Amino acid sequence: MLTVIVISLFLPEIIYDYNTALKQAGKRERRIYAVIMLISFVILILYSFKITIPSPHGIITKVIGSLFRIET
Amino acid sequence: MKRERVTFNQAMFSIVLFNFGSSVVMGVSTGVGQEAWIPILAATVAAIPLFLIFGRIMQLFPEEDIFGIMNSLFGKTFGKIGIALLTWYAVHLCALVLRDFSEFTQISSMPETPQLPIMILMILTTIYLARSGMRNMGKWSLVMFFFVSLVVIFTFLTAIPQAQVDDLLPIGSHTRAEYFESSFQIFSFPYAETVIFLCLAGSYEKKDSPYKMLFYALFITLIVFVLVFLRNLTLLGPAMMQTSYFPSYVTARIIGVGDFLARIESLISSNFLFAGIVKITACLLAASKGLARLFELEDYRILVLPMGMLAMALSAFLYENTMEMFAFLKYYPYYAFPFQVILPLITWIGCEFYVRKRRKESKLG
Repeated sequence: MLTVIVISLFLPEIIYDYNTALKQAGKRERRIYAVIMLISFVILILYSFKITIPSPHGIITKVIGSLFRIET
Repeated sequence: MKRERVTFNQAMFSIVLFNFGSSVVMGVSTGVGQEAWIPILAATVAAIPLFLIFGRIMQLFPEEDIFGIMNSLFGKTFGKIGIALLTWYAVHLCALVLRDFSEFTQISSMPETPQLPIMILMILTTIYLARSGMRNMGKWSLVMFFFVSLVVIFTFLTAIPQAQVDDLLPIGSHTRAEYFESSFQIFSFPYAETVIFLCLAGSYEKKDSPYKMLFYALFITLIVFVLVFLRNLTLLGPAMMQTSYFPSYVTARIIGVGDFLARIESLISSNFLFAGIVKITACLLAASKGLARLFELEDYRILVLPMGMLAMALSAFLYENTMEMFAFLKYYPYYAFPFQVILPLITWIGCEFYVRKRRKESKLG
């Protein structure tokens, strides 16, 4: 179900933007747009399949925990 | 970059609602229970020098945001490192607030609904607002500030008959380290997060004093935080307030006026929604502007949607559960400190040197 939600979110968004904002945009803008959208899409699809991706918080808490004494 | 103009009131109320953001619902309760008013005041005092720095940067470069300032002060390489760091912080903060919101909605009213649809609804709204520009965010803030304040005042007044004033005592029962830790927590979340508005600077009217704008916002935020704290404490008591994930929401569930007015917790949810929209929109705008500056693009608006999607993707896998989310609050001040204090501090020092050099040159020339 989540996969369908993700696809039905991205598809209309891209079609809409392609017909409006992206039409007037330069090559560079389009490339950056495509790369970020692709990264987000892949992450959300993995999330919808319940494939765990390491969270940046793991690294952040480890680094901060080693520098400061934090009681949780 | 295209310029939009935001009025004094729009900018000020945007900052106020940005500060309310998640704090009004998550409460400003800290590890010191009934004495949280002490860290709230201490954090406000600690925020004054930081806001002076923010104000000074805005005053010295009224037409530029912090990204532009970094670019012209530190050159291409170091400037871009600074821009990349602040852009990351803006995306991350956006993801954090989005996750706070979806966790809150799931816990309070939709336990069976997955968080993703909730996040989608929220992020699409904020993307729309961010694409409409700073000015529209300012207009939204101006209107919503009165609603949010009315809710806080209303819940505070209706809580008075049930309030237990004794809960404010005893005073001085915690160690200095505990007070310091709590103050640091409130200082970084939400006060120092105002650094995001340096990324949006350059849109404020030149005649308006940035100091006035920042300090009025700080003062209003302080008053609301104290009211929220007093309401939550006197109704829930220190122990319950500390153990609740969303003390404001729990407090509102208890409040009842006679037999006819009860269950007003939806008002608290709407507060989170309206203020949260401003916070996420501001972060999205900052992230999009930062990325546009990083890649030297003319218009940031085209990047709002991808950045919104990226923030949503990030927020989906940030934590495994609510407990993890609240545990991260202990680490957050240390993590955010370089973005909130060190980067602006370096930029401010650079600004002062740059302006002095320019003045000397113009005197000689």
